[in-house]
Amino acid sequence: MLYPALLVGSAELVMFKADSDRDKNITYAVSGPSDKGLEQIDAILQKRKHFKKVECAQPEKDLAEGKVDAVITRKADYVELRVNQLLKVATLATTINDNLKSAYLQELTEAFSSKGLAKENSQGFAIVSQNITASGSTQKIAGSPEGRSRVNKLENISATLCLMIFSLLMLGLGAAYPSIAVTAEEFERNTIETSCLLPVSRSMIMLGKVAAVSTFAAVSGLVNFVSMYSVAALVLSQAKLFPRFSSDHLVFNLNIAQTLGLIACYLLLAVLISALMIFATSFCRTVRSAQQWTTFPLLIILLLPPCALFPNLELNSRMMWVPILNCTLMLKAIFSGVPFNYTFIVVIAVSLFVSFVSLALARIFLFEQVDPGAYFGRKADSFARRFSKKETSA
Amino acid sequence: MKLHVEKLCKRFYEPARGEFFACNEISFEVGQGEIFGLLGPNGAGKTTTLRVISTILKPTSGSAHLGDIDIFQDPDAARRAMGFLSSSTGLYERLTPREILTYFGRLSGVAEPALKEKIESLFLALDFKQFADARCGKLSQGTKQKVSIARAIIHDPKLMIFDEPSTGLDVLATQSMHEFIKQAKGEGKCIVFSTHIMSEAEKLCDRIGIINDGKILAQGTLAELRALTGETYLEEVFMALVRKYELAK
Ligand SMILES: Nc1ncnc2c1ncn2[C@@H]1O[C@H](COP(=O)(O)OP(=O)(O)O)[C@@H](O)[C@H]1O
Ligand SMILES: [Mg+2]
Repeated sequence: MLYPALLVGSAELVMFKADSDRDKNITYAVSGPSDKGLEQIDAILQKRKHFKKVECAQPEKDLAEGKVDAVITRKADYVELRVNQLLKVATLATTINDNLKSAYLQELTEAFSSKGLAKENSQGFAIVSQNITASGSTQKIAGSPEGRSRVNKLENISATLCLMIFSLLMLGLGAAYPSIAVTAEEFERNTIETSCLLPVSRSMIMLGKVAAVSTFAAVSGLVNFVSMYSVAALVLSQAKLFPRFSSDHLVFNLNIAQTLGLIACYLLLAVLISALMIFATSFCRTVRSAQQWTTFPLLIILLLPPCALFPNLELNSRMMWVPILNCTLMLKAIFSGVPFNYTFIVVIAVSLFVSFVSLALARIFLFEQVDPGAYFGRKADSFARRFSKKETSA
Repeated sequence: MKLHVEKLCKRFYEPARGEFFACNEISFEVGQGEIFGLLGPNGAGKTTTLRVISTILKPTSGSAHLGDIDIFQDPDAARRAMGFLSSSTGLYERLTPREILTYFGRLSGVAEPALKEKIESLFLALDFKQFADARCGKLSQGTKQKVSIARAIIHDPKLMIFDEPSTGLDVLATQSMHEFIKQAKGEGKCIVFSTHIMSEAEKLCDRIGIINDGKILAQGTLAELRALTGETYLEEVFMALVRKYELAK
């Protein structure tokens, strides 16, 4: 019940935010020597009601100070639009993209070809954001001379990212059953004894458990993602059911480093969620009670990651400390082309730390049941006993 | 290799009983090619003692040595040299005997080419080759016990610990279990064995320790115990020792 509502809700939020931003006027200035290509784009933008041209003496400075939202410049073989990062880059990109995709694209292409510029090799519309707070260096977040799929990128984030985030629920479910199998079921079937008899340290046993569970979790999450993605692509390519979405929204252009980052982040989540699951089931003696305890981590996985879809929530120096959510925000950041920075390192460190702590606690809970009193002494033992029925040894 | 257990204690806590010693200053020795039996009623502390020796439980105090290995200081080395089997030991139901043996063999450090041969020879020795590739969940109790035995000895341990191994087995399976224990004795292994069945102890054990309430009341060969109590049958020997213990309390 809750999840579909949440899914639709968050998607709606994204769209709603985009819509409201789209209604805002975007002021822009032209910088540098003009030429025919630039004039053409200028003309197109002027026709759009959301774009408002302003004259400024020092466009670059005004951009930095936020007096103007965007500056267009003629570069060697493409037109560059620099936007102030304070502006929602994603929305602007969407807006421009919409402009170029619609009839204006037609117009633009015709205009270019009439000027002797071939459609293929020309005139992507490059969007570059300017990082004015930091070193003043510019950071290219999207766009290249290569064509419009690049320009689409930011707009595409939400759909693919949504699917990836929703696949985390399946990842959690994929972790739940194996984690019960490696904890409570070991007691129910009385196989924990045989594990304890191996010439392997108990930490290694825990490591083996989490490796097994997270592999299972990652595979089920990824399979779920791939299948949702394919279905979405199929539906969107076939039907005009969702006028706002097209299969273009599912395209993501990521370079190899970003793709690897994405996979690493997903695997990190798999490890973290598996560790939490193992922790949640580690003090259970029976599969039945373990099933009930998995509700808590599942609830967290249900509620926390989709929060990353809130448009204003970004990976920043505060958010990077929130486990799980910071990972999904990192996914979002990678999708948005944010380059590797210290927040990513903090996210990785926080996730590994939380996994480590949950596994350390799980190790204690698990082996405390094998050998009551070994870790906690007698007081805490009677506490632990409340969770688990005492073994009736013949 | 010789097992030497010295003043082993294990304290438990239960809300109803408070703190108590499930095994209390237990000392005994088992030589090579010897079967030592712990004989006692339910709740006497047999399982606890054997679990402490096999490093599943941490001792409250006391020491145990297997040859030069200090079992509690170097549990990994000790585990490599011992096999433990109890009637309650479970198997991974979704795995086949072959998979289970491979898994435990590898983790116990048996080298790969030798492992395959070892597994085949265990199939033949314990006579369950026809079930080698069936899932353990589907096997009969007797076959499961055979798989458990094979699991416990896949790494060729010097010391074998059996905790009431025949519980839940039918006459035939019990018989083959006894055969197996005798055979292991012939191979020169140290064997510790617990039971609450007098005849089983009488039949198998070289030396017997009578255990009750966490304490060993007396130990020795059957002849020595008879001489000690002046009774003939083990049951009576046992009852005499328990009575004496109760009186002393
Ligand atoms: N995990 C445990 N926690 C508390 N008490 C235990 C635990 N395991 C065994 N005991 C108690 O220790 C005593 C000895 O048990 P056990 O060694 O299983 O006896 P046996 O195997 O001889 O039947 C029993 O009174 C039992 O209730
Ligand atoms: Mg017992």
